[in-house]
Amino acid sequence: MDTKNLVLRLGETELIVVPSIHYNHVFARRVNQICHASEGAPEAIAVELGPRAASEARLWLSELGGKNAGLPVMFGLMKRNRRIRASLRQKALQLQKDTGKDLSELSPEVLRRELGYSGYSLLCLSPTDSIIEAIRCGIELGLPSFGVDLDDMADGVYDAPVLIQNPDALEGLVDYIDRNADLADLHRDEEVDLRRETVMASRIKATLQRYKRVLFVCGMAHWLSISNMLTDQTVKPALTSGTPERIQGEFKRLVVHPLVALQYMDSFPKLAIAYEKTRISASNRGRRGGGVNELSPTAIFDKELKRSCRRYFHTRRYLQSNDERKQDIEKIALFQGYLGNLCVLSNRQVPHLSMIANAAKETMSADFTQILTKTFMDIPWVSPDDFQDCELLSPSGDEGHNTGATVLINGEGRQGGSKFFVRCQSTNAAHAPATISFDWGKARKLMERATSNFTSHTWSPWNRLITSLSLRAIEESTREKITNIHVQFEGSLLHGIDIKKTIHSFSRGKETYFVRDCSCAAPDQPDFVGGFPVVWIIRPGNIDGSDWRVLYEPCNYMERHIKDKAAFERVRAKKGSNMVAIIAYGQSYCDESTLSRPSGARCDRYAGITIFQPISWSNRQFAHWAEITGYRRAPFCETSLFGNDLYGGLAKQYREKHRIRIEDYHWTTTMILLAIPYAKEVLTVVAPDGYRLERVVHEKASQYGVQVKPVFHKKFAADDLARLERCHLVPAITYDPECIYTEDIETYIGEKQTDNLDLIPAAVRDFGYLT
Amino acid sequence: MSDNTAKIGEKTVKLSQPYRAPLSKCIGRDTEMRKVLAAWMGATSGLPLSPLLIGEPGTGKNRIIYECAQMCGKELYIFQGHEDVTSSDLECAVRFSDDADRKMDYILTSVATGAMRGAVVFIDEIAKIRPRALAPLASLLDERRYIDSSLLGERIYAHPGFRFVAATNTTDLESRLLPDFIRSRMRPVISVGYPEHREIEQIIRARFRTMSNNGNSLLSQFWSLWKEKNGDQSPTPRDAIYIFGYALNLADFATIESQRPYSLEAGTHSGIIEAGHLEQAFAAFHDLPPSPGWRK
Ligand SMILES: Nc1ncnc2c1ncn2[C@@H]1O[C@H](COP(=O)(O)OP(=O)(O)OP(=O)(O)O)[C@@H](O)[C@H]1O
Ligand SMILES: [Mg+2]
Repeated sequence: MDTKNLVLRLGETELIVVPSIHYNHVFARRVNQICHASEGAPEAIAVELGPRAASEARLWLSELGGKNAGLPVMFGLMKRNRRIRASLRQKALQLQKDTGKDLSELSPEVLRRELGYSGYSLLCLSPTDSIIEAIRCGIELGLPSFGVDLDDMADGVYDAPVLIQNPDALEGLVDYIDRNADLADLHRDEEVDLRRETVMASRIKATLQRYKRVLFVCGMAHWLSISNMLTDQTVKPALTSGTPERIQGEFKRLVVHPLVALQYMDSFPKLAIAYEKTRISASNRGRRGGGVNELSPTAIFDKELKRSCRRYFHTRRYLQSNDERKQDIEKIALFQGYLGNLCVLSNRQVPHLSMIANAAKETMSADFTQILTKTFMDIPWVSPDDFQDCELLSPSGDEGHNTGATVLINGEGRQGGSKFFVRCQSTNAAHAPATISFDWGKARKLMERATSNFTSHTWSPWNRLITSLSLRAIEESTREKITNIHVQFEGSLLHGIDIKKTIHSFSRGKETYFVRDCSCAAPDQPDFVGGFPVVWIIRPGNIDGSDWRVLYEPCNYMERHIKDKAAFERVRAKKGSNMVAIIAYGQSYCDESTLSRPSGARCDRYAGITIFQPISWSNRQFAHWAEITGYRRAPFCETSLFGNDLYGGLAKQYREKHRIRIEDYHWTTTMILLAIPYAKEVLTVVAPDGYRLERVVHEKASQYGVQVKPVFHKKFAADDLARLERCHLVPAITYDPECIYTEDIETYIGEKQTDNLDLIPAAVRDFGYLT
Repeated sequence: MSDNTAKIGEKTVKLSQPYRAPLSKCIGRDTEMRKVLAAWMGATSGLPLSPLLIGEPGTGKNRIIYECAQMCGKELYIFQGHEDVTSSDLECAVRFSDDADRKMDYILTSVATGAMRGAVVFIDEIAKIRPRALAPLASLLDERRYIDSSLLGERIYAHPGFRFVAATNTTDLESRLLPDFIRSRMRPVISVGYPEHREIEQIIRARFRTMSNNGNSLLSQFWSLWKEKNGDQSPTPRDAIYIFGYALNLADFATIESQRPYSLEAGTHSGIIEAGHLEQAFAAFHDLPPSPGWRK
């Protein structure tokens, strides 16, 4: 870019303007050059941030500046939003009326969808952002900096981003702005932005009364409107207010999870690092940062792509791999061409990471895509471990399922917070939500620890009860199977003539008699590996307010005990990070005991339960079971920290993999259908006496080569069934190797945590420990 | 020779007709369209890609393709996939001629016609076609770019301008696997999701201009009824258009109820959709079997 700046002369004063595309290093670099110029450098700096946000950012940046040479990625400042657009006030009132809830009680998703409201706004200290750069220069050169925007505003509503020309390819900033500012101007939300621009113009005028030469950095979309107001005499200078007083706790300091941070960065993370390496700081004042230090995003992109290919194609694993991977070598040219075309059509010189990841996903194998994104994400991210006083902002969906929602994990004790949306400060929505997976190494452990704090666990005595009852049910159904064994009559009547079979043979003209043989009666040990899952239909009616619930064994609990780690990782990546233990249908259970409930505890009342394996087990036993069954005997799913994305994920899996649609049948039938794909030969269904299976159950079962065997309630004690209904989900002190609970949980439930130990047969109890 | 016929080798064949989509304003879908266009633009290897669009029924796959074809100024030939397609349906068919001088007419199917004329060829519901029937596509979609017609005994070369795209809905793709030779030729695989609520509203507004005054309240009624019946499941554009369309019909009907005979033609009525119509339309809509999604 040539070095001509955009300067607006207003009387005696000069306003040097950098109308920017947010997070784009070209504009940050320009700001840096302007500030470090030996002649004509500004005396003060104004940025498109609220006064409070600007001074908060300055404070933190100057603290950070002392420690490190470069600015690490990614830190953020977050603040609550209070405003809703004036035009939506009516709708907000209506929403409260319709739902009978106060806005504060509505879920963040609803608020976001109905009112476009996000609970927080986030300012990322992104090195390649021109506003952040301006503040940093201010600190380094000792120049005063002012936030001239509003601190509080409603969310704007913006259509799909306008395709603004990519600045990398351009000659001069002034020309560039000429050509693109009016395009960017289309991309404004008049209702919100006009007010902001008026305030900015009037505060800039005030600043110019005190300083002769001011640098102003704002989003390009605002520039036309602001420049008009600057020359408009009716817009008066604001009354100067000085530096705003700091309100304790107004802003939270955060370490931002890389997947969230991506949305606040230039095309890909490496650019931030490269920018920092070539950045000129205050100590070099007077040196022009011209051509020599210009970044070449194209070169960096090429290098990263080559690195990914080396990592992928040059490995033994690739050479031994299957067909899909083999095709990658042919497809790589297609991928590059396609990506190149996407860039042309998006007016970009280099693709941004979500484009890269999506294009790879659309043309290449999943393995390649994974290595590619991993390579592009591979920069030294700030770890929350090193900044214990910061909170952690993380995506709420599981990795690879970024829904845009985030959660806050508090600094102290790393306890989970609540789910919410953050407003993107920019209107440059280059990073459409991509499905990028990312493993944060050490920090992942930390997040898992944090989330386990608010995971509840089923109550061990209940686990033992349902396990032992299920074993009994398996025994019953297999015994019936055995009584049905018939042998040809060879002199001994054994357990009587099998009439049906005999008639059948006579009708075919073969005069053979059949007798029933129960001599090989049920073995002492029911085959518990082959016998699960077991379906429990406790109360088959329709119950209002009931819902599907899924309980699972997280992979990270099992991980430590897995022998073939590589296979396990593949399963986890492919199927999901939780192994389903129970799918239940039911509702929350409320009675007097609800009042004395310890915090974090809850109780469900189930009408039906499908149990996929003996759940009285320790993590090690779960792991052993998962391995010996080849991960095939229970579904896996993803989950989010909050909400029930999980439920949707599993529904989708059943629909796509097994062609079972949850909503098509009565829940009891659905429950059985959900178990069929995971049964071995016999699926035991415990049901009320006389329960009849629907035809579709038989159809599905025969498709999977499974026999569905009902066992009726009369075989079980009513007390046991009643206890089975109530499932307590409670916090545990530890979950490894097994759950241990506090005493108040015991008091609350009225059982000892050691209860029911005797119900578990030795073979199940010792499973996995003897090998 | 007229525009309707062409000569292949020695034989004169009749051509299929392109489809001209009557288009209302297309809302959103920039990303998806950009992907299709990027695929068609041709890569360094010289070969354009043939994208496969995947999505739930009614999300707007066809619509995206119509739009893209129009943006490139190309004719669009559509072939509708179904279970009974045979491979000759993709190449050339014969029928008794209307022309007294000739016994038979060769008819070049839409796929072959489009390929020959350098148009966009779109196979809708491709997963419904049995794998064997798809065989002619193998040579058409790789660098050979031709179809051998056994019926004609000729080779039909694709024009350099020929571009290909196919669509399928998610469930079909699960139940009948596309054969590998097709799968590997169909890249990128572009998934078409549900539009945002805001976009659904824009689609409705663009389609049903008569509801100008009470538009806001109708739309908010739409959402609350939708939510009541479907929970968090999003509507597809088709769902929304269907419901509003039916509501409009009900409104129209109200204006002619007293006339005999009824006129059923469009454009002759001036009904205004009221809250009640929308409710009735919802009731009718939900007597249908549920569309996919986990519903309680
Ligand atoms: N972005 C859009 N703007 C305007 N109208 C749209 C848009 N998307 C879809 N529609 C309309 O919605 C209806 C359904 O779309 P379309 O037929 O393209 O869906 P489809 O995904 O091809 O469905 P199917 O899987 O059943 O073939 C059409 O009437 C179409 O015009
Ligand atoms: Mg279609």
